[in-house]
Amino acid sequence: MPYRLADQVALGPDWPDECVVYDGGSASTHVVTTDAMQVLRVIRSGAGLLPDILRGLDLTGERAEQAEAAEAVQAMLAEFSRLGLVLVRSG
Amino acid sequence: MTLGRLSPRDFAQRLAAEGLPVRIEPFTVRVRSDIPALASGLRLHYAAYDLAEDGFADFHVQIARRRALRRWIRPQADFVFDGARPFKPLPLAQAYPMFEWGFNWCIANHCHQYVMIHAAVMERDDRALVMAAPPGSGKSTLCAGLVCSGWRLLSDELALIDPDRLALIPVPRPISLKNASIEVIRRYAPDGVIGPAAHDTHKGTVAHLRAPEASVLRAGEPARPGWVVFPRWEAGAPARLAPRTKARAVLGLMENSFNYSNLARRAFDTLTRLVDRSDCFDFSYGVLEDAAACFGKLEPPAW
Repeated sequence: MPYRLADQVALGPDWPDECVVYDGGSASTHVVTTDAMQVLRVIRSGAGLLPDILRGLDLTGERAEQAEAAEAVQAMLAEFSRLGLVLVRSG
Repeated sequence: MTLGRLSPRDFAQRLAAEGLPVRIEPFTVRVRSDIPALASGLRLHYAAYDLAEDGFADFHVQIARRRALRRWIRPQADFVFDGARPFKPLPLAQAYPMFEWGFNWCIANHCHQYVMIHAAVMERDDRALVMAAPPGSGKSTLCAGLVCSGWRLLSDELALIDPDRLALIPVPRPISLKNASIEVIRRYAPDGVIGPAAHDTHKGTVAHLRAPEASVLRAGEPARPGWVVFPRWEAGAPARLAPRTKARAVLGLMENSFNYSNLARRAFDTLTRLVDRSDCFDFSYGVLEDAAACFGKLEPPAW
């Protein structure tokens, strides 16, 4: 499933502990982890499919660790999708 | 010409007739009233402010006596803005605080060119200290204490942030002290000029500390961001600055903002940039002297 950032989402600066994201669609401001922010930035840069997103995150480590990371990213994508921060691209 | 140059008679006559156009940077407010308590409050607190001579005013306000029986029985006054009465009337003795509260309302409801936060703002070495907190947090007491310790007053109530310049815009006005804070400041700064107390207001007893003349004279000088602090007074608590994450500082400012929802993305961008350039803290204190000493040691951010 290809993902894209919702049009009205603005990403705040990269801060070392937590970051902020603004969703103009719901007029909500979210606090997100730095990892989540990194995922959002990768999506904004154009990576839409999970393998591209994982590649964009430049994950290192053993295969098992990478699988775990992929699962975590998938969970984040589901949460972003629920919040309306990312949309599933049609077509 | 400053208001203080007017004779008491001219002052009262002009105030009652066409109104006095007072330059309270960055605004001009034309205030009209025939209530002596308001005239004396304005004379005490605004003597160093300029009269705007160009005829233009951002806000036209009147503190008007209630007519009919209310003229004699428990007399009351209305805050009138552009002919409308947005609030319930208050006892005549509260005419001066009513002007201050009403003026806050005028700014908070009309000046959306700024991102506005319910916060006190002070400055030292061109760096602004933004202290955001809900009422009852000890913000005004701390603001008064710091201003009496040499910090420049930008505002006691309203942080006005210019999104284009990312600058804190001064609107130096009298500092509103409530209840026990009045005596705290009298003891802390015996030279400070505190006006008469208004009792039984919706905030309890209220008195205003005159803004330092040096702050009024520098009202045209904005300040760069320096610190964002969320104060909380707690009986017996030691003065302590605890770092707050920048993300949580944005949320804190947002919660204390008057127009975050109105300005939406523009407000988000402004607050994140402000916080990005500031050191952010939670601050608890129990004794004003300790708090002032703590802020005296604050190092400005490196940028």
